[in-house]
Parts: sequence; structure tokens; C-alpha cells
Amino acid sequence: MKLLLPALGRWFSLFAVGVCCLAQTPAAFSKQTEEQTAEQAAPQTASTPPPTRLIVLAPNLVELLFSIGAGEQIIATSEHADYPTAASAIPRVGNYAGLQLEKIVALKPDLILLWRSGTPAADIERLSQLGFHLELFEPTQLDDVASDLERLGRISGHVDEANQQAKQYRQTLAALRQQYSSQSPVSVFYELWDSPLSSIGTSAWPNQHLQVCGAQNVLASSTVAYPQLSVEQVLVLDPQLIIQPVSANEPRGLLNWQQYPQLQAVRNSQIIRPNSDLLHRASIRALTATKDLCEQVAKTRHFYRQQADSGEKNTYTGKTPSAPRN
Amino acid sequence: MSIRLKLLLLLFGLLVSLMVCLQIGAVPLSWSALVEPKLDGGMSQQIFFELRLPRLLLGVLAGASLALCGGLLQDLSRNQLADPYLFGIVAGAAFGATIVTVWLPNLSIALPIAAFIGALLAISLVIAFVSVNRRNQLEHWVLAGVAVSFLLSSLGSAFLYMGDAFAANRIMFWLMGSLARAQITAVWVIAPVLFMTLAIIIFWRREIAALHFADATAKSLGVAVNKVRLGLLLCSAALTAVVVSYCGGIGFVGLLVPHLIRFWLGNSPLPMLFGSALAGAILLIWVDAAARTLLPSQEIPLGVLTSAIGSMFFLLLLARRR
Repeated sequence: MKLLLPALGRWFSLFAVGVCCLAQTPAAFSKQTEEQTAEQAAPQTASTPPPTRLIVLAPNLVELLFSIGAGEQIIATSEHADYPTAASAIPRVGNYAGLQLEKIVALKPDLILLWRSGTPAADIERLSQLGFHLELFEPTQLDDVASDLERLGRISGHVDEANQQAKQYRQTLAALRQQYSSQSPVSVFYELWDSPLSSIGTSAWPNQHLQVCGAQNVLASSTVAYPQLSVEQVLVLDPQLIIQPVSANEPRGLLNWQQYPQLQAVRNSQIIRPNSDLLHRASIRALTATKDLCEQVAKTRHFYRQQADSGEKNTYTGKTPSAPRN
Repeated sequence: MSIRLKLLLLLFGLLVSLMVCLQIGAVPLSWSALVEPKLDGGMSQQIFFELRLPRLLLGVLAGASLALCGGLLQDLSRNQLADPYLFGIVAGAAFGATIVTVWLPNLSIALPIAAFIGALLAISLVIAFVSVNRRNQLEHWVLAGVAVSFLLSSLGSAFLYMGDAFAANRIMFWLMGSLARAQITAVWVIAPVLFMTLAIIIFWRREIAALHFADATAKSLGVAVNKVRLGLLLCSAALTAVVVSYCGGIGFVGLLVPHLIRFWLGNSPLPMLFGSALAGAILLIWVDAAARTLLPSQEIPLGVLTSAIGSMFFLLLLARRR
């Protein structure tokens, strides 16, 4: 031990000196990165030519850019950007868990477009430290898709197409709202996932589709965006319609509601399976899904109204939820 | 081979690994462009100095720290299964990180600070429990650590459940550990704590060796058992806390490496601890090199790889020992 210690001490100090020297080099050598936060990122003005090399780190933004004819400008994107088909061919530089910063630097983008909630904050900060111009998007309402379209138009230089698309989107949304949202409410249970049984609260994205369609979420009072619950609670809430969104790309398990015939939705076969790929993504196609959903909800509404009119036992009062039956 | 030679070999291995791993990455770098930045507009320089080098240094420090703490805690607690996360440090750090991710999701600077405070909270709870009950026996430390770990995990889970779904995602990936967000500040924070711990270990080398025996025997050798143990526990807790704050939960390095090194270098504390630190550094930079290159368009979380490699090695080691 006595012999060993001086030797170890020497290595230790060598190691320490080495690390300190190495640690200083980046600061000395690295070129001064622009002090620029995401919020300060310079908006594109008419005088400067639009950026042609975009890295777009969210599937919905990729989709919106393609819809305004700016898909060609995307040089890299993240996993899950699968629509339109051309998007699948774009090189990938990471996913929602993390980004490949080295590749992003090597691609030399003019601008990086991000979805704030879908990207780790540390990655966003790292990107702005590296001197990139960032544009952050955070759609929370269906209406935000239109304003995002207009913003993407300004960014990519496709202003006319974008404004046109945004206008059309707003008109379609307004028409859907006018047609359905003030109809008599249909109580629905949205089965987001079967195990553990999870649903949505009012602050969750899919709940907006329900609002447009005049459907009343039985978990509207939930303070949590994605509440978990038991089948017993659903039995008590007894919704008129059960929605089981399914994805074409990601398989999921579906709860077999047929084993609970005491539910009015089961007894009356009011269970639907809309396309979650469309419902859960903030894109133009979401409205197609909204329209389909609204039509299905309208069918359910019609069904219960007819049932009420024919004076059957289960009188629908228009109030939700109804009391459990034995 | 003498122990000195083996340690020299490890040091040499680390230097070679550093050189090799600096050249491994998602983007092939040209050395000519590194020297002459005009060739590619400074791209190679930026990748090298702002991304790859800080990441590699952080890997060296994190690997060395975790392995060192693991070895130290195994000695202090005379428990083969001790690892740096023994006192609920990861659960505490995750709790802090969760609160920040749910409440201040866009403030990236807050995450390591909150994780550190969370880790300190875990350690303080353990120390408070042990000192209030005046039960300064080893098993009380360990059991209190387990309890605090569960307590903070459950609090963290409750916060995640109340928060949005994206927060849960982010925390889960954070917990798997990564060097990807490496910044040079992390190196500046971890390095002094690591070197201070190493210095204290050298200073207390005889005491650590004495702690291999029962407490009573160590006391009869004139060792202030409680003081030494508390001091070293605090050192390793602080070191683990800073590493976890910046890198998340990188599993198994702290458990596996000291065992491997004991196997090779023997149980004498000083060579075992320094050897563990060197081997931990080597292991982590190689695992990180794999993490950033194995899949073409994404990175594999570090914890996934270290735990996979670690557990296999561990079983192999156990089988050979029998």
C-alpha cells in the first residue's frame, strides 16, 4: 500500500490535469454561438428569401407543410412522420425521446421547426445554443391548426397556399360546429386505452372533437388530462355511446364491452371505432375525422331520440349521466 | 501481473478508448476539416468541440463516479448488492425532475437543479431517520434508504399522473439515462466533486480498509467508524446526486464494475476503488459510443444498454465463481 500510494497520487494528478485541459478546449475553440432564444428567432420577412432547408421535428408539422406545397423543403424529420407517403422517405434525426444533434449540425438547416411539448426542453435549449434558428409550435386547440398553417406559410414562403388552406380549414370547422355542437348532448365514454382502462379529460386534445360534435364526455369533471378508471365507474356513468379509437399503424387492445350488457351503449350496440391516427394529430386531416365522428354521434343521437319517441322504458331525458340500473 | 501494472493497463485502456470513441459518432468527421475549419464551414469543429468532446468527458466522469460510489458503498455497508442508488438517490432525483417537468416543462436549466435537490432530499430523509432513532447500524441505513426510495417514487408517480402525458414520457426517458444533452457545465460540476471524493478516499484509505472488519474490530483499531462512514456516505451521495442530475439513471455500472475489479485486482480498497473508477469510465464511454451509433436514426437510452450488458456479465461472473 505504501508503495502504491505515491504512484496512484501521480496518476491522479495527471488525470486531473488532463481532464481540466480537455475541458477548457471547447470553450476556447468553439465558435461563438449566437445568443438567441427560441422566442427571439427571427421571423421571415418579405425581403429575405424563404429558408429552403428545414428540419421539422413533429409529424403534424410535416403533414401541414406538405399540404401547403412546402414538403420539398424538409431535409430531415423525426420518427412517426408517415403522412403523406413522401414523408416516409425523409431522413430521420431522432424521436420524441431525443435528437441526434451531430446529424442535425451536419445537415446545416436554415431553420428547425419543433413541437414544444413533444421535444425535451434540454434538446431545445441545446439546439439554440448551437446557433440554430428555431420555430416552436404548440397546438392546443383545433383552431390552432389554421394559425399554424398561416405561420408555416410565412416561414416557408408558401403564403398563398397556406392562407387558402387555413381559410378552408376554418370554414369547415365553423360549419361542423354550427351543425353539431349545439345539438342535444350525447353522453360518451372515450376509451383511449384498455389496460389500464384510460380515458380523456376536458383538457385532452381528443375532447375537442367531442365538443364540436355535441358529445358530452362522461369524465368532463376530471381534473386530469388522461384519467385512469375502472369498469365499475363506467357502469355507474352509463354512457350512451362508447368510442374506441383505433390506429392503422399501432395495434391496441380493445375492452370487450359485450360482457356488460347492463350498459345502455352495449345493449343498443352504440360502440364506434374511429381512426385515432387522424383524431389524435393536429393536422388538416383531423377535420375529416371530426366530420366522421360527428356523423356517428348524430346517428347515436337519432337512435336515442327515436327510442324516446317510441315511448320505450329507457326514456332519454337529455341529462347525463343517467342513474345505474340493476 | 502486479496490481500497479494492472492499474497502469486500465489507465492506458482509458486513454486508448478516449481516442477511439472521439472518432465514433452519427456523423463521420474528417480530421483535416477539424484542423482547417474553412473546409466545411466549421461544421466538424462544432460537432467535435460542442457535442462530442463534452459528451465523452461527461461519460468518463459519470462512469468513474458511479463505479467509484458503488465500490465505496459496497465496502462501507459490507453489502455486495450495494450500488450508488442505495439511499433512494435516483428516486429522489426523479421526484425533483418530475415536479419540474410537470410545472416548468420549458425551463431546461431547472431540471438538473431540481433533480439534485430531490437527491439531497432523499439523503436527508435517510440521515434524519437514522439520527432521530439513534440507530446507527448499517442495516438501518440500508432499510431507511429502501423506504425513502419507495416514498419518493410514489410521490413522483402521483405528480406524473396529475401532469400531462408528455411529462410522463419525458421523465421515463430521462430516467433511462443519457449523455446526449451533455454540456460542458455538467463536466465543471461533476469533476470537482469526483476529485474531492478521490482525495478523501486517499486520505482515509486505512480507515476504509479497517471497515472491512466488523465495526467493533475497526473501533479497536482506533478508527472513528461513525465519522468515517458518514463522511464517505455523504461524499458518495453528493457524487451520485450530481451525476444523476445531469445524466439520469444509468443503471448497473455502480454494481457491476466494482465486482469485476474486485475479481481482477483484489479487495484492497485503494486499488479496487481507483481501478473501478477507471474501468467505469471505460465501460461508459464505450456503451455511449454504441448508444449513439447502433441505430441509424436515433439514440438508444444508456440505461437500457448498461443494464442489459451489466446483468448478463453479472450472471456470467456468478456462474464462474461457483
